Amino acid sequence: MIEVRSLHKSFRRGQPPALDGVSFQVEKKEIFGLLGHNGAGKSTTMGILLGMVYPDSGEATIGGVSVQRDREKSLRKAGAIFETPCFYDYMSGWKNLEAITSYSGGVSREDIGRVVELVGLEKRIHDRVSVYSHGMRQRLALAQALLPMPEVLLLDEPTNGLDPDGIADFRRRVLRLREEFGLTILFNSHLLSEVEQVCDRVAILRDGKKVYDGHCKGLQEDHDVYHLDTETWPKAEAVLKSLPDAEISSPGVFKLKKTADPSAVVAALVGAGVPVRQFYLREPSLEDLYMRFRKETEEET
Amino acid sequence: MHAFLSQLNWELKRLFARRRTYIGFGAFLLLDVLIVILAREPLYRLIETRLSNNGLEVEEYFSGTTLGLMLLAASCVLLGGIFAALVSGDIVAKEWEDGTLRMLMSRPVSRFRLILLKYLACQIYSAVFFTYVGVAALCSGLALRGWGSLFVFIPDFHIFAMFDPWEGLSRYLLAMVLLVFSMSTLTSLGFFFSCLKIRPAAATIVAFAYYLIDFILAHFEGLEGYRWLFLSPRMAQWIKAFVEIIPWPAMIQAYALLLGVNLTAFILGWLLFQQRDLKS
Repeated sequence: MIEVRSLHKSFRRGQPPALDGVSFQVEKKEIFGLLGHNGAGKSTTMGILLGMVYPDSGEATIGGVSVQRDREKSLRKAGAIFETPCFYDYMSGWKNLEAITSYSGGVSREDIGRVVELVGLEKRIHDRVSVYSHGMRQRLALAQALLPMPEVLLLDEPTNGLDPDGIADFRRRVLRLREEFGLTILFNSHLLSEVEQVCDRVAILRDGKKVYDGHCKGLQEDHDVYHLDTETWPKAEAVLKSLPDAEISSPGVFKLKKTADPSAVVAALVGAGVPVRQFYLREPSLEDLYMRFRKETEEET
Repeated sequence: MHAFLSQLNWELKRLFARRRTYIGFGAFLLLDVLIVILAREPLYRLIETRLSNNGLEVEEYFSGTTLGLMLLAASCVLLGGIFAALVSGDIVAKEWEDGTLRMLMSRPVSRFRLILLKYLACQIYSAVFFTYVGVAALCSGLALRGWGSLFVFIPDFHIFAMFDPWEGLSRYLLAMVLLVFSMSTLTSLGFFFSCLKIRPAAATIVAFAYYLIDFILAHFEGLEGYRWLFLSPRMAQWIKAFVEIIPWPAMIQAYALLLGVNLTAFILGWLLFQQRDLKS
């Protein structure tokens, strides 16, 4: 449904390219994550998919139609949300939807009403956007992206700036859209945990290059990383070394196989007289993933 | 065509939904009222001197249309240029800065169409605005001095003319229409600068500065031989609606050139916008 082929893009001469040969495919009804730090090339990819950025080479297609050759036709099937939802603040949410959708040939009042209900804005849709919270703006952005109902949804860091409840709510809505309307969704994010929770597959970008493309399960390792805060690390180290499923990474940090029971580790430490101040699971970061992929690449080489 | 008109309708609705539109409209009315209140006596004495020097009756010729014309010229010189530059300088650059342009660009619409809609919307907006300025000046004049003959004395253009009330009104209305055309060039310049990758305030300042420098140089002694290079003398052709026998060929020539400038500014603005990567 979405295909990106060998995209190259440099914004300035003499600077590293924003995109360096990025390719990926998103199948119909799939939620595909594009993961990477700021400056990794996610938004540039999104810009190219929307025909706002011209690639130096390569091509992007939506529904089999090249964005570079026929932007209008390809975008008829797509809706998009950007990192910061921007509207005409002095107009109501409803009027914003009417104004924006006029560029897609207009939509009926019934359709607007239906989508407004879908995003849960029916009570505030006639208020000025200037009084909307960030979460409401994001829901309005989702509403405009769904008008007229697209086949493809492009989401560029849609949860940035949302509170945890807002993030969870947005995530639920995205999943519901796929379930109910069979939308194909491209989801840009720099948050690994978010992509893991929402997406079926993921491509990871770093400095404009794709470093991973595959199922989210492939990102998971066979072990978790734990932090241990104790006054007597040498004593704790001895206990951890004696455990078959634990492997020490650095002082206070160790890996534990997913099959192992963390409470048994705590019990062993306490049993050996180690005063445990804190013991917690560390969420894997993007940096961990980059390191892992680099290590794997080096090993393969 | 229906879709295009609907999009243009929404562009205009957006421009007219802004509070600052009405602040601008109010400011011009206030300016008229202030001029009338503060400069009532000096204006009267000025007109009286000019008329009595020529053996004319002040009560007959210092009429609503005469005062209206003075208000129109004063308010346009003082604020009109700034307003036109402000509206047109914002039209693309402000939307880009605010992020709303990206939202529109995610729609299945060509860049040409988007930029054409923006250009037409700001030209229509500007036309409505200057028509309003003309009508407000005329109404203020009529409210204070009432119906009567029109007296025009503009030394720079060698104009000294008197018109009976209806002829005076029709000349005033013609001048208003021509003024709208004249100001469309400043709007086009503002639009062009707005299409550059600059902040909206910068686009406004550059457009207005261009107009101001053009105006100063065109009136600079010693540069008379180069006046044909400047836009402001051509933009001031609306004044010639008050020449006894209107010099249509010269005016048509001037307005044809302004139309060419408008088209060039639009095409250059579009080409710049067309080749730009729209990424924040």
